[in-house]
Amino acid sequence: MAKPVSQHAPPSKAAMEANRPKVWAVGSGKGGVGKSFVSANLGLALSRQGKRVVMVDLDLGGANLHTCLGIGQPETTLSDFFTADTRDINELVTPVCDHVGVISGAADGLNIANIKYFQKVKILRNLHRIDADYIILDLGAGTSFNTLDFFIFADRGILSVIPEPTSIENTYRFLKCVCIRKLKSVDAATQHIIQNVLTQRRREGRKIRTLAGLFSTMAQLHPDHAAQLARTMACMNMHLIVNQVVESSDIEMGHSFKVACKNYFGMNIDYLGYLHHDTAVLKALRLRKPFISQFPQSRLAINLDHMAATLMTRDAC
Amino acid sequence: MNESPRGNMSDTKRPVKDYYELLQVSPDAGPMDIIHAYRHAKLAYQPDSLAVYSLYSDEEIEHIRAQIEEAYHVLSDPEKRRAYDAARGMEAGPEHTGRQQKVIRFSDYSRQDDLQDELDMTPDKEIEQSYDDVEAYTGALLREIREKKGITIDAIAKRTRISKQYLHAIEAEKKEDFPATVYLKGYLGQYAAEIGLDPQKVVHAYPPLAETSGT
Repeated sequence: MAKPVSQHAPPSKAAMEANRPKVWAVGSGKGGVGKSFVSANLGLALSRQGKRVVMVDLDLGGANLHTCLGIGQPETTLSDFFTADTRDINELVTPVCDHVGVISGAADGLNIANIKYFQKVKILRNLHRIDADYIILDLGAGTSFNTLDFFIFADRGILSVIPEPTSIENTYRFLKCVCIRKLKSVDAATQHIIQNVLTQRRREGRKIRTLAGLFSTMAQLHPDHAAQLARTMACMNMHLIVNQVVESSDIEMGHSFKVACKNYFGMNIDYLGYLHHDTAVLKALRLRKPFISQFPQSRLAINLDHMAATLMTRDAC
Repeated sequence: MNESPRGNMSDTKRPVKDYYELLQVSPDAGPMDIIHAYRHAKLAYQPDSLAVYSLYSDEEIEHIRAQIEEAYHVLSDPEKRRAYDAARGMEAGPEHTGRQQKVIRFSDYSRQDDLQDELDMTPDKEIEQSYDDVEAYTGALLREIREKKGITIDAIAKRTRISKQYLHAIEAEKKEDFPATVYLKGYLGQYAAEIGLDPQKVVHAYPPLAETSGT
């Protein structure tokens, strides 16, 4: 059952220890902010470090990660996982180049954008079975439950944001939905207490207005449950990339976003770095070549390599 | 100043504000850390900042900015900082530096009126509905549904008077543990009803039972 992807590099040490691939998800609230670009090129950057990578296009109904990777529409897609009798998720992997494979999101079928709960669960259950060191999930825009759940499932969530009001608003919206969705995974007792605290404060006329407010009120009133809550929320490792930077103030935007997230959502977000706006991205896309392979010495490629290396170091410790 | 409740911003008696939290630095931060943190905070809350306008009203941003200035004014001056640390230490006690105890400031500020409007902790309708169109109710799925709903095996055993051993056998799909298939069918139906599923549907789509009907 050897996959083309796995033939070349032997499993790295870190992956042997963890015994399963690391999963990174790339999301954002808005479309057109470079999720597929970031997914594809972070994945290729990882492979340049000798890692075996499989990217999964979960932008169901609008899948085009394969184009960013410079290959045509793969013959096998996630659809086959639901319709045909594909039992092993590794059969869906289409090789891209050495150490790199992609599982294409199906673009056919009207209904594929609205996969059912059990189909989502089937994907989630099988992701860890993919034969690779790293799995990168390229998510769709918006805040559908499916997208949120894939983002939460990942070991690391990477948010791509561009310095435009619409992108930032939607990213906050996305983040809030992620947090609220995650809150539901705390134990039933804590959920019950959260509901009580919210209702009580509303009745007292001191409404809790932000997630940060909820966390601090919980810490004050129910320290044990607050600790449980903090542990649950801390499972999410979130990173921010500011994409399509034009001015130097856009770079600072990432820091501002981080500050605001801490104050408003009570969440720590790591500002991973920024990527300049570069017309070469379009050029590579039109050539249907992956950017990082086409322009390996560019500023963007170096930044992407650096980001991949930073995240790998975090995974190691 | 008395022990003011944390997070109660409407209190007229001003609590000792956590300037470190305001600037998002640790209490042992060095002067350069504080300058950097101040710079980031100031830029984040500047009037035309893209990062905060959608979260806070203009007035709130104004207010937050004033507090950031105040925090920096104190923390950047070694003399004032020492005095502040002393006052803060007495106020908050030694456990204050613990991670969970952190005061999150500004948390009463928001464009949104009430978090509860969005934070609906009732069971997930999407998940509830989707349990109905599952292709197979495997033992593992039944267990997952049961656990999601926070129902214990003990509770089901108590209500249905089915032995826990059989309930576990249902979830483990151990058909051979039952004296006859008809027992399994009966118990499975009762089990399904207990976790809010349609007994008929579950019995029909339970893989171990499907095998028998097939052969």
